[in-house]
Amino acid sequence: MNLPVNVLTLDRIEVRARLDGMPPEQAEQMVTRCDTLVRTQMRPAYVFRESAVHITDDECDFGFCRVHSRGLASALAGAERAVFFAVTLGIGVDRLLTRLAAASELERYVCDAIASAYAEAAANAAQERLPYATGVRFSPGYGDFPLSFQSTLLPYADAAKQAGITLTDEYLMIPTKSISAVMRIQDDHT
Amino acid sequence: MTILERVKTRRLYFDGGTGSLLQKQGLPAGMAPEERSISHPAEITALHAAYLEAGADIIKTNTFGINPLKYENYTDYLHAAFACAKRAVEQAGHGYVALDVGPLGRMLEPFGDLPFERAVEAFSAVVREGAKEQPDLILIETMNDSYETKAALLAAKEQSDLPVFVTNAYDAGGTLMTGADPLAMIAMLEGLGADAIGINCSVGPAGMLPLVRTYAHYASVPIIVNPNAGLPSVRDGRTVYDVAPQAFADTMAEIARAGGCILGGCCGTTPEYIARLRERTEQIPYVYPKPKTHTLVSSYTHAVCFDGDPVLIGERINPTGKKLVKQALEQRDYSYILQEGLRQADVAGVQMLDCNAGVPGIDEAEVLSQVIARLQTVTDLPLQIDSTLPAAIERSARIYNGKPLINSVNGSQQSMNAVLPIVKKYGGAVIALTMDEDGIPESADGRFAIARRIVERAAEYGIDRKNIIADPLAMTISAGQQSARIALETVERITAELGIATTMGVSNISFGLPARDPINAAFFTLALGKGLSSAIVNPFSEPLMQAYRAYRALTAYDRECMDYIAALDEGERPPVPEKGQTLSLADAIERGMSDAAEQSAHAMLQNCQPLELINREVVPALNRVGEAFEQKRAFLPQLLMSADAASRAFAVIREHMPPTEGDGDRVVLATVKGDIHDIGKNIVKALLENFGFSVIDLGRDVPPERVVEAARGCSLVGLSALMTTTVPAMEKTIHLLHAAYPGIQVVVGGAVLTQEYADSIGADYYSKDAMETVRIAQKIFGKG
Repeated sequence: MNLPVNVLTLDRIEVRARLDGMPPEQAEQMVTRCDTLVRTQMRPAYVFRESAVHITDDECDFGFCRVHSRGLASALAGAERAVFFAVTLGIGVDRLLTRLAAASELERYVCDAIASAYAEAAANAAQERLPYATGVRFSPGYGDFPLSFQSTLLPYADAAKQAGITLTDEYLMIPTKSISAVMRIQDDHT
Repeated sequence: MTILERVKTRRLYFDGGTGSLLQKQGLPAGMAPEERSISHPAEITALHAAYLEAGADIIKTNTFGINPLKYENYTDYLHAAFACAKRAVEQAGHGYVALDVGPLGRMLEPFGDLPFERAVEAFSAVVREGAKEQPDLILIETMNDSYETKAALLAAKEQSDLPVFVTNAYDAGGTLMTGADPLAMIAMLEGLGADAIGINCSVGPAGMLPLVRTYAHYASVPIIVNPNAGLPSVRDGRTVYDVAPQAFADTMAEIARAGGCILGGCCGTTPEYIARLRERTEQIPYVYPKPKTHTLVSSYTHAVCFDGDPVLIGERINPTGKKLVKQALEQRDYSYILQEGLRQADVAGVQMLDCNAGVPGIDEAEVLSQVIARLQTVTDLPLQIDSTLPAAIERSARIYNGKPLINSVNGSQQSMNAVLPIVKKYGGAVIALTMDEDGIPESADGRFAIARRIVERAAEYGIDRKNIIADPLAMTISAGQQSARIALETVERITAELGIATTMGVSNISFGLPARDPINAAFFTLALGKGLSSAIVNPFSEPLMQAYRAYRALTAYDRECMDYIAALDEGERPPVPEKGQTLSLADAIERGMSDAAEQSAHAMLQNCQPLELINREVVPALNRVGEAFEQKRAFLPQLLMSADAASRAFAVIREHMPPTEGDGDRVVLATVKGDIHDIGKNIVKALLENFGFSVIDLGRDVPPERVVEAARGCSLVGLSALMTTTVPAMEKTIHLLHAAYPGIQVVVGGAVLTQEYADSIGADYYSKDAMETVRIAQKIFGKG
């Protein structure tokens, strides 16, 4: 499902923090210019799908698969249902970053920081649209939750077809500005 | 009757959704629909049968997600799916079976990690095995990336003689996920020989109507339209679609009238949708598409049409007479080539780039295909593959993402025999030089006759005349003053009598003369007046660009003269150096002021040697910024600002430097296999280049073997890794390097690394940041 670009606002403070040392006026101009570059290339999209879950102290059983992770088990503790979700800014941003790398490393650096901030904003916006999702976003690769779980999470949510999110051999997401996670569904809702 | 014969006579109907229907019927979570062909064949057969009964002419095998990258036993699934489909057809007594081929679920290089040829192999495996079942056609569907679509279609064509239908999934904005618009896809797919093309999935029928109109306007083959039952939403944990069967059929009736030839459904549609669709549209008069005559070439986002509004093709990526381009190609310094491409792409009006890598003694096929592939990562302009070597043309045309323009074929038997089959197979357009075994005719009659001969010969290969662009050949008037007249007359006759597009390398006309620009510009205007449809030009020649803009204003291609006026505004604002406060180059770099650095470099080169300028201004300034960074008085953004300013100055200085000999202080950089994070490596690269090192950047996700190959003769290799999972690949690369070249030094860096970690995997140096890598390089090469 598409996420309108205009619901995403840039956390300029977060981005400016990464431009420490640049003269303020110049940093401001730079962020404004790069913000436009990134925004025109973004096509945010998200997918999600619910699953039943049964949790023991270090294992989550989703019925069709199990994962051994204390971290995830405690994030989902007590839940009977969970939601798998993924969000992306789209491949246009990767293209932009590659093109900039050929011309100006500074612009690439700033755009990269801006895109990362937007990915976070997109994840927050997508999360608000998930019915009854609650608690923390727990992503493969956090703590003891294996990164390889991406190869279960993304197909289950139909992320390739619906949002164009694919995986590399090493379980990294392409487009690179993508976030995937598992969240709990509020207990009083089934 | 074969399906291609049938579709000439009447509208045909596809079935509807499979996966969504199975899910509705209770497909267990985590199970893919295609796995049902083995576990529940009766259910799949019944689903096919229901569609055939509802009026579908064509059913898709339940093989959407089947490929060797996902399933080791993909052949079992394929044959099981065919058994279901064939049983249903047998029971119904009618129906065509389409081998259904969906996306691989992986992103191709350069943005993903799947090489193009591996994608072709994966699709080839599916087509080879599927073809054994003798389906009536192959359907490549739901493709949301133009490059993957090309891989699939190429595989289908190489591995079978079956009819191939192709449908793409466009989003609400009317482009594929990776950016291609309908015209780009039409150009590429028809070029590659698809028998029917169209649209599926993504949006509901109403959203597809405008796309169908575009297809109908440009496509010469039948148009397929298989929409979803509207947009999906989730209700009570189930996906539902918002367009009901009758409303679906009503909109499909409009689509039928707009030119839809083969209609069906995708996600969310059921046999009821297909029944209503057929009932509603069967009586609408059927028109088989007429052949279209647009000359198109395309990139992975858009197409360029040679339809009268002149097309400018930038000529600068060509070693002939350009020592820096020649040197860059010899040394495989692709970053210089990319910058040359980007500079041209920035000039308003340039719509394509010519790419020529013809330097004697290099592996031209390898280098040209690299230039093409890398340019496609930074610009979406369509490219012209320029070579006299068929092997170089073929390799580049194969990996090109889009419909290429091949430059060139000529009227000799040898050239036509070698080049035309490549044009046909890879679906390109081709520039036809009006010369042959006997040279260049000295009359318009002679040149016209050759153009006609090439058009006729191309037709024998199945290449339509719309894909031939004739070059009447501008020869210098300094060697024969009639040559301009002959070229102009040839343009006129080809345009009027053959009705095909034309192009010329305009500036050849003045070769050998002083002050060439006025002659070139006047000749260009004359040629445009005779109907010249495109030209290969130097976009930095202002008189030529003025002639082009004036012509477009005079012929009303430039509406309201907007482009003409916009260009004047640009011209009136030359970069004005600030009075009284001209900065030295060193100051400009230290303060990170790019424009000032460029201006200052220009100014200082008047009284200073290029090398002196680098040693006296650039390097000391960078050193001061570097020191400030090391002492934490400056931060990474400042370092990058200075690096940017230094790069701008370098671009100016480089024009004044003699080509360097040999390898110089070469450093090989790579992000290791499995890792796609390259920002750190790129920063290191920018700084090393600024400090005067020549960098061979291998990019990201680089296999150890490629690093070893590239490091031959180098003293220093830099490797980067961000993730713990890829450190083993780094370790392997280091071992191979040390084994291959004793004494070679390897420096490593990246988020997960520490000095200890670096020691444990055998690295010679650990660098905590880009500046430290510069210091290490200076130490190894005895500088600084």
